[in-house]
Amino acid sequence: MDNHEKATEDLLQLLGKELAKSRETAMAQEDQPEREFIPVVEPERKQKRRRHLRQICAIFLCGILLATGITTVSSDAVRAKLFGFFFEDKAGYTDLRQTEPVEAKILYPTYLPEGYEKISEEDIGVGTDISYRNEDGDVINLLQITDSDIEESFDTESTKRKSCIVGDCQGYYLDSGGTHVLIWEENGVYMKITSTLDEETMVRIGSGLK
Amino acid sequence: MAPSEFKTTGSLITALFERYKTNMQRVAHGILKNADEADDAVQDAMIKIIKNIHMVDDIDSRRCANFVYTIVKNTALDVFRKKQKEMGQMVTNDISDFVNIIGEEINFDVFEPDYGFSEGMQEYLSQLNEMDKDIICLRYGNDFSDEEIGRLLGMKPDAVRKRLSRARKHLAEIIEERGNANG
Repeated sequence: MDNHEKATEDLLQLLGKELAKSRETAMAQEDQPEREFIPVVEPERKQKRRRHLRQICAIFLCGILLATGITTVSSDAVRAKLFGFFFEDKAGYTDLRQTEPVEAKILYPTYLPEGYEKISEEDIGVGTDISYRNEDGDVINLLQITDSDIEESFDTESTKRKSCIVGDCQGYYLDSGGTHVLIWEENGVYMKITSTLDEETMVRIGSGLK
Repeated sequence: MAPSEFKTTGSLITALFERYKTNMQRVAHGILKNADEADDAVQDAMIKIIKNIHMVDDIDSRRCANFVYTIVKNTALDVFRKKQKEMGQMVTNDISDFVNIIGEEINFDVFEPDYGFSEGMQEYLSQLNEMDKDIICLRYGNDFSDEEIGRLLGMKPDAVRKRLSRARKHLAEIIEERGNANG
């Protein structure tokens, strides 16, 4: 390594350490006014909860999920599982079976309701997330997960669940009022469509993916 | 406290959350400027932390603090970018013009005595994007491996190495320019 390269490397080392120090300071434990960490709850829920116990229990449940090798896919599912299941004591959840890791091509809709255009396509590491939107701001989100060890949970207390057929596959249509979800497994890939559309339209979109 | 001092993974996660939750909220709030969105981002960040809990050595260490910081900062930035897209705004890579990212207060004087590079480092840092800063900080400041950095930032290890190589080359160019300018 010549002097020039050494100087570059030394400066990067120093920069790295200074950045690390600065970030450590930003995360230092100090007396700060604690803001109440309020989970998303529906206005109808009137039970009183102790904030501290709620945080501890929510994180402890995450630890149990990790210990049993279960990984939840979305934060919405985690909130449903943590707050619906644990705090209401009545919510059940739907398990989808694990899939083996697969290499699958990305599927795209051959049918979409009029006015919808693609706005994004993202590789999210465990699969692909594609979104479409119309002029009214309504969004159709298509999630295709190819990673293994996936389990997603839905709060069945506030969500109506109905089985259906998507193409040749068994699926579920979930209706929680505003947002509707269609989920199924196709060739080892976990498929999920989220939108405000009705069941028939969502099944038609799902059945037409190529 | 090291992970071995906790009886269960759950208690480790709980202790980590208790230790960092206020700071996580502060980092997320600095970016999102909305308390509810910041809370959501912290929750999402905790999911990612749990998935990578094996990388935690000691919850009070600089390494752990940087690990948590990187995850919550990038989670909040992802939410910010998504909001921009949904509002039809241009998604900019130079995100620092729009958000307040705490934890980037560097003492540039340390670059002066041995290298005379205080101004040069300010120039270099202003040209780095957030991902490159994260990679430099995690690699050089915290000794994370390329694989670990890749996991934290959602990249392949090769991509981490490439970005680091480009960052190194860019710094070398600034050093040379300044060296030429100074004669």
